[in-house]
Amino acid sequence: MPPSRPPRAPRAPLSASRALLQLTSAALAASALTLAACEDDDPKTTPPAAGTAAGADAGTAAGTDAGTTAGADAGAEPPPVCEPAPTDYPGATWGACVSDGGRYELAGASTPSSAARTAAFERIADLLWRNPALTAESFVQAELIYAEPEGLQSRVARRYDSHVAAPDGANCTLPEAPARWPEYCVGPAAIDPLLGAAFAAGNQGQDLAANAERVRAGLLWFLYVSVYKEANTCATKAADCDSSWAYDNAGKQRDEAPLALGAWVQAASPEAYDALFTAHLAVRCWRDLDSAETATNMELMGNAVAQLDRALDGGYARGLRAELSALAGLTGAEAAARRAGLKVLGLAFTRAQVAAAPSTDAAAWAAAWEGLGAAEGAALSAQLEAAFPCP
Amino acid sequence: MRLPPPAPLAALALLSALAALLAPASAARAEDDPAQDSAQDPAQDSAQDPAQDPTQGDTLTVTAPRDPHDAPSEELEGRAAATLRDVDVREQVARSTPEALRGVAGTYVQQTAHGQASAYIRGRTGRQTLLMVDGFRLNHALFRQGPNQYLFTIDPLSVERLEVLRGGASVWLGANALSGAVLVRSKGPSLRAPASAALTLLRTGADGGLGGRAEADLTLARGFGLFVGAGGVTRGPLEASGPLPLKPGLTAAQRIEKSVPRFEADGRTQLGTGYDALSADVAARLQLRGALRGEWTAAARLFRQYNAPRTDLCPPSEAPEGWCLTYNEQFRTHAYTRLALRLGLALAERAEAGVSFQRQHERRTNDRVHYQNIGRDAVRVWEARLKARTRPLDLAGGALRLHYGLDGSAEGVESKAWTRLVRSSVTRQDARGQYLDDSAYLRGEGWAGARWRRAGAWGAWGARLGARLSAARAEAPGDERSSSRAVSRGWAGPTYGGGLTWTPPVREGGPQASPLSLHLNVEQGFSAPNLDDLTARQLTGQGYQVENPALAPERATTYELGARLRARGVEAELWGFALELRDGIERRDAACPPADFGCQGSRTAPPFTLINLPGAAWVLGAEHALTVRLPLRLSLREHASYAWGEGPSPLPSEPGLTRPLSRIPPLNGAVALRWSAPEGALRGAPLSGYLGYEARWALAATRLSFGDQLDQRIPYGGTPASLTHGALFGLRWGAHELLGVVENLTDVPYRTHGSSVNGAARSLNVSLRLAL
Repeated sequence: MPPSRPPRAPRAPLSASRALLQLTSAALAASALTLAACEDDDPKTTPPAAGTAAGADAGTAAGTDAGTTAGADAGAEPPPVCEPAPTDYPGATWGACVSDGGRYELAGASTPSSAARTAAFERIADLLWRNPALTAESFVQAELIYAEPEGLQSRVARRYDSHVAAPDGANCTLPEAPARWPEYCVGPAAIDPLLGAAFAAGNQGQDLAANAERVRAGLLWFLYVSVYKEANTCATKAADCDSSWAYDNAGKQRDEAPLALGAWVQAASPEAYDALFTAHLAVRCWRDLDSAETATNMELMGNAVAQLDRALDGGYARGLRAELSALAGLTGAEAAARRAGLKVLGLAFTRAQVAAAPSTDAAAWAAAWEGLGAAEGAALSAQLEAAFPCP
Repeated sequence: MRLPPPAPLAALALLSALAALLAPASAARAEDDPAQDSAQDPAQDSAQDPAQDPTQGDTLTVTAPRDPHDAPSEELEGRAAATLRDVDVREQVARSTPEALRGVAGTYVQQTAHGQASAYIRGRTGRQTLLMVDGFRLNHALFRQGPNQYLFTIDPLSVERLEVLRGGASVWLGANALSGAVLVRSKGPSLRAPASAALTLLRTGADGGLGGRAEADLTLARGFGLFVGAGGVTRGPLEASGPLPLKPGLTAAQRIEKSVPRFEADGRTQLGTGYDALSADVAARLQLRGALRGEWTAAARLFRQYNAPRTDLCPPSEAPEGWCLTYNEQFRTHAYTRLALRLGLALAERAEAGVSFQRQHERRTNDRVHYQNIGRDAVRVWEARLKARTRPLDLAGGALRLHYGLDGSAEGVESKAWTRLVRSSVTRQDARGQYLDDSAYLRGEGWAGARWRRAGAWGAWGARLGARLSAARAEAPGDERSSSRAVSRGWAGPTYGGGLTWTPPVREGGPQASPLSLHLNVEQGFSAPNLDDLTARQLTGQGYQVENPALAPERATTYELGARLRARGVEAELWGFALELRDGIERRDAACPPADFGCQGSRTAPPFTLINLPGAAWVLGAEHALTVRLPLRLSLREHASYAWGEGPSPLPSEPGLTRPLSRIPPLNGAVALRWSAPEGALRGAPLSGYLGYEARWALAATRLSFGDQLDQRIPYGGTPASLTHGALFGLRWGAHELLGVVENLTDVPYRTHGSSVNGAARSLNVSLRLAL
């Protein structure tokens, strides 16, 4: 910090010259102080707690992928009779486009930066929910990944939910946004505080498994919101279509193993993931056929984004059902931890649940997720199946 | 490579001053004329020096400087150059040293932040230009492509004179002077009076700036003087006249993407502006007589800037408003000593040796409320210089003088970074800093040149010819965790240059010297890659920079033709130039290193790296300046500059195509009309004053490079044209003065091309100087 000013000389009748000399002397004294203006010390690093050397690779060998195991029995259910909508891609209403080869072709110049953020989900997974030797230090390392410049938190902190109509004047970068527009500014209002609290508690060694599940759920929530948001903003910035795809699976083709949200959906239902990938092709096809700087074919956009929304919700619902199914087989601390994550995942989905079953009530859904116990899982799963029968 | 800390040299300088006080017998008599026996011969040099610009300020009188410290640098002779004196800086009420250069032809000041700015000379900046302070290099191994903070670390009120040399100048000044150089001469002991002191107070309106500087110039013994000065300034948020008018038809996404700068709710106050700064300097000067005749000087100068936000990242586009990258500390410490001797030897009539230590330190925090990324970088530079010149030799009816010298530097780099989890009070060191810690850079150069002058029936001729050999070596350790490759490379290359000046013969009965001179110069420049180019990873205005350890040196050749007219009441100059840039370094998209997740997540994807262009790039342009004394005590000053830059496309997808070079300024200029009041007297002291009007203008900058198009600071389609008006006034009574500027009279929003910060709103800036 700059040094403080030297004390004033006592007041006395002075000539202009003497006054000037005194001022000069004072300034010269300041010069001496400036000479002492030293550089600030380097920050003191916080050492890891003793015996908590869990690193990025701690859980890679023997870790259990909660998402994967949760979905183990999800594929056993009989497939519902589901027909694609007449407007879905591929279909008669679509012209020939870049997606017809079945590969996702980039709209932008290179792999979007969102792929790195989606991949960070897996790095955090290795440290937290796939880590059998979870410690407070694991949370520190995971939060450092979350906090990387241009990383996950940089986008969580400003993410808005395109499912919610933007209120007049809404701007999620404003400090007052979380209080004024909590549903629209879902990132700063809900996801970031949730993740921050989970990391902070984990850093303190509190309820490690449950907080790891909360982090997983919060990040899946962010990815779910982001896939839809980027598809919408693709109307004015074509490269955002790539971001939508990359937030789902980190930029993987259909025959490649997806990461993060895509992996969670695929583990629960390969058909649901397949439908989701096809929906990304639909979005890309729309922007190929409507390639002006700003999209003009709103009908085509509507069809593509609606297909993506259905596939996203269908996949998310399958993921939730798989989680509920896995929860039924867990007891004690494991069940409590999984329940903590499921509450977050379920609450994030109440909007979609009401949209799919308008006769239901958001508050009731929220209460159901909040009060999720061992007995309620099956009922919730059945309700989800009824609301989202198709992948 | 570790280099020792600065304390010993600073202490040495101060102790040397004290030692000189104790040895007055070797000092000169104060009443002696210092010009007679000084290490230079300013009267001779200045008479031959058409670059000296006495019309700056309020006088058109050409006077030979009495003190060698008043003489212009000899490197300006015959070149396109301009000089600003301390009074010119005060009359502008300049907020910074770069800002003071706004009125110089061929110079364009780009401002990345309120507290950062750099001068483009003939369209180039960064390490393609050379900055020198009191004869030592300000350039160092971490100089960035747009070294915005470096010239800013010089308190404008500490400057005695600013010289801008346009065009290549590596032969005479050293590496990096590809397109020009800024030579700063700091205030020092004048040895003119037993003691004098001055207090200058500043007030700038648009940013609520309040500052001042006190200085004392003391002649402590015969021929020995001490100069001490200290100053400081605090600046608040900078008010602009609102956002720039944007190109119509932009999408919402595009508007958000380049929303730089961001504004407070009033739509005028720019976020990410304001800073504080302190400066202090002490300098000693001793004139030597007797067996050793010459002059010894020593000085220590400090600049401390605090909490200067980076305007374009406060917050970054689309980021929450509380996020901000702030340079918490931007420090420069410089200590040097120099001995200039008049040896009188045939091969070394005069010689000068100097040693300098400089430390540039910065600490910055990227504050994201719950997370902070902290970085600290420092470079220590030891530099030594030796130069000499021979006695004049007769050659072909003229006088030939040979000049030669050696200079070199050794630099060491410290660079570290940390991440802080604020909620948990946890801080961890990152794998690497912005640079590779413990990197080193060595530079060595030797040069020789000749200057020849002859006057005859065909007029007066001056010729200049020289060569320099420059070598540099970079060493940086690798870092596996961050996929950073080690660097161990060296480069060497010669540069050549020469020039011809012709002054037509004078008719009988005409003026003593012809008012017209013509100049032809061909000067080369050399710039080896530095540690910023080779090792830096950083978020810049144009995206995330990834290092390229394989870069080769840049080389340039300036071809310029100029005419200068210096007649009674009129001064004019016109220059045309072509700058050929070979292996020019430009930006190109790049892949992120595997372990650099910050790079991979950068929103300004694709990240870029620096590459040598596959062929020659060219900057072509012209500049002119005119000063005319008009009737009714009016004077008119005007200048205009144009540069056009084009080079091979840096993109591999565009083989054989060309693209504009990055951030070449648009056609720009200024005009000022000034009325000087008749001089009077008040209480026995002379009283004078002036009133003036000035206009600065720039056309739209629409020729954008690949990097410019990515740059969030440059609007889609380019930077709009601007025209601003200002009023000037001044009142001088004896040595006291009250000077002022009303800037941006019409309160229009504007921005200099490439800047993050919009120009100031209409405001009154005042400087009050009280002197003894």
